[in-house]
Amino acid sequence: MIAPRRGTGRAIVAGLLLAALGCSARTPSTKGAATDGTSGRSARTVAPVSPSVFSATLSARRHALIERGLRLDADDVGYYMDVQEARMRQAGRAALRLTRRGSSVILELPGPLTFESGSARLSAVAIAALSDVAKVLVDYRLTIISVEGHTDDSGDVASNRTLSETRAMAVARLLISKSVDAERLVVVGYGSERPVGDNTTEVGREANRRVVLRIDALQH
Amino acid sequence: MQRRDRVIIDLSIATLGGTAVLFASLTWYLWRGSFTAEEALVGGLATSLGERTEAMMLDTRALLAGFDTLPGPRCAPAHLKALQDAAMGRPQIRAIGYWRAAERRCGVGFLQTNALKPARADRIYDSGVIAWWPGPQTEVGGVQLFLMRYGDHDVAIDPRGLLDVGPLEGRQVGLWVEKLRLASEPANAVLPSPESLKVGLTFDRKNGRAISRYSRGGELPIELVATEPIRTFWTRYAPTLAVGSGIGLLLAAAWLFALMRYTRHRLSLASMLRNALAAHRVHAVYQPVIELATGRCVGAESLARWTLEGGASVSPESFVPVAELTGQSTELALAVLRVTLADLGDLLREAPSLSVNINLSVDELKSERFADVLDAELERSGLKQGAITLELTERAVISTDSARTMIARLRQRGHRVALDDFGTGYSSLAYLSELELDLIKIDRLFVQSIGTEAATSHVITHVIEMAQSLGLRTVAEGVETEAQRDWLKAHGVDYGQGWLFSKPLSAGEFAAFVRREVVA
Repeated sequence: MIAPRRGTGRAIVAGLLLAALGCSARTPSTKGAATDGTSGRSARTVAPVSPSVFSATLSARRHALIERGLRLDADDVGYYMDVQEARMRQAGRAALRLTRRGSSVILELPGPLTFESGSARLSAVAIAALSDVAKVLVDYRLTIISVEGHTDDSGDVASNRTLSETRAMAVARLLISKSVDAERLVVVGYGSERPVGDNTTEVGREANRRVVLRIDALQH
Repeated sequence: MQRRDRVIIDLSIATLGGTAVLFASLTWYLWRGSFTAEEALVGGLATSLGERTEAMMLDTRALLAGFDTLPGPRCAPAHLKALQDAAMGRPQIRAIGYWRAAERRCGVGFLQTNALKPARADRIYDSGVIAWWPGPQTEVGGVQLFLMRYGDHDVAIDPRGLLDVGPLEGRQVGLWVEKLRLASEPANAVLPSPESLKVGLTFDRKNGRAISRYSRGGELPIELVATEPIRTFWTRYAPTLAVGSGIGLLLAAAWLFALMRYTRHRLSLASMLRNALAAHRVHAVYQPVIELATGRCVGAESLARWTLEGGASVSPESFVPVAELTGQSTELALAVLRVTLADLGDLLREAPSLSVNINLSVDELKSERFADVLDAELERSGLKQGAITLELTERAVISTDSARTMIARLRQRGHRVALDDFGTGYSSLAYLSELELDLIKIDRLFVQSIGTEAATSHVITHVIEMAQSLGLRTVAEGVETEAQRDWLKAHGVDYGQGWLFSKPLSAGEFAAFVRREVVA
């Protein structure tokens, strides 16, 4: 019980350092544009983080957002996420698969529908669906969004990592271009290390090629 | 007397059984009636409530979808007026709100509260509709509200109005929609959930209540549970059951009365017959038997007649069965024998070729008494055994081995034995060949079928052939037309009796009939 906690502690410290660095670099441009930053600036700010520092980065970013006053009362979390989920479903398209885990809303974008084959370019269907999702995310801004890219295991580890990052970034950029605050997005590419399907079958590999949006309430 | 006891026992069993069956079936019928009445009542309640609830839910959903597409800026007068208009026409709506995420911006209604943000939705539909069923988390001012939100608008509904369906007569009623309790009357009613119940009416004896569950399909699954104390249930249906029981008792009494009347009639007829036999009021008439080949009268069948003191006569169809049933058949047969011998003694002595038939029942074959008396009477009259032919029914003949032994003994003494009503019972060549007989009498049913297409008209041919193959003589009963007589003659039937030749005659008439023939 003790050892992992220490490990987590160390990761948080590292994350905080990283976040601090990020903040200092960004300080001039955030002035007066805390809530509705322009897409140009945000596009420059967002960058994929490596899986090893992902959770630390996420928690550092969460703290930073809460510091800015983007915070939900504990009593409101359930209602907020329920209503947001309903809005997501209302906006939902076949291109999205929505699930709910506790107070997190998870949107899964299946690779084959989302991207043009072998590239990181978003399909027209995905752009339309993500635009609707972005509108909800703008309305419900008291959340932090993890954008996770995944691939199947064909090809080497490094190129899979790169492809997963590129695809996750494409999704994040689209959201930012639709006015989602870049601060709320944490992008990570896992390559093929977190499969959900059997890589020895075509169906399984297809399931593994995906981008997942995990939307969490901002609360202490 | 044994027989009479049997009759009384049978009648008592019939009485008690009939009464019990009547009463039980009526009680059951009424019980089912109360049951189905209760089920129908709850079913009707559920149907109307179901329709109302479904309409409310669908209306609310449509209303919310309409708000989502309202043109113009939110919270502007036009927007608020649209919300106001929707709320005005719907008494169940307590409030309509416009929200930005979890923040109520504006709205209309009695509840201008920002507080209704329940922690957990009960349903989030794929359409984007989200709903909170009434519960502690939706309670405002003591009322648990039903909430529905779509897009940025929500509606708060007071579900109590839904169950406002007129008198519930002491029932507690709960309404479930999509397996979640939406409303109940009274609001704090303790009701079992529908899933734990059978559909229909059940009795929860532990809690002393009758519970009805009714399920309704449709777009929304709706279920209704109604309970009431078993006492109330009984009180409601007691009058019906009481009236029913009263009718049941009356019917049972009527049945008893009818049976008693019947029994008394039967028994009184039996005792009257006993008196009549003792007082020699039973007499006989004689139907001539004709030899078909010659047209000569060869004898007669002696038929019992009973005339009451007032002059009215009792039909043999009713007193012969009574005699058999009450153990008086031997007395009856002996009475007929004595009357016959007294009436026709002279004639029979005069014309020894004549033979008169006496009908016997199975009782006369069971004891020696009849045979002994028969012989004694014949001796007293100075007549030979051949003067009396004994007629037996098939039923009597096949009943016991001792009966067959008795038949054989009577024949040995010189009586002729005829089998009556042949063809209507168990006739088969096998059993006929086992019996010692002289004559068989072909039932009138077959005779009347002669010349018709009836299936029985073929049977008579076989009957005749059967008798002939066994060397038995045949008598056709009920001959009414010349065509029948000619047919019978042509087919080798020996004798005939019936209206064609003569109706049953009194002793004097019969004597005249025979003498006239002789003279002719």
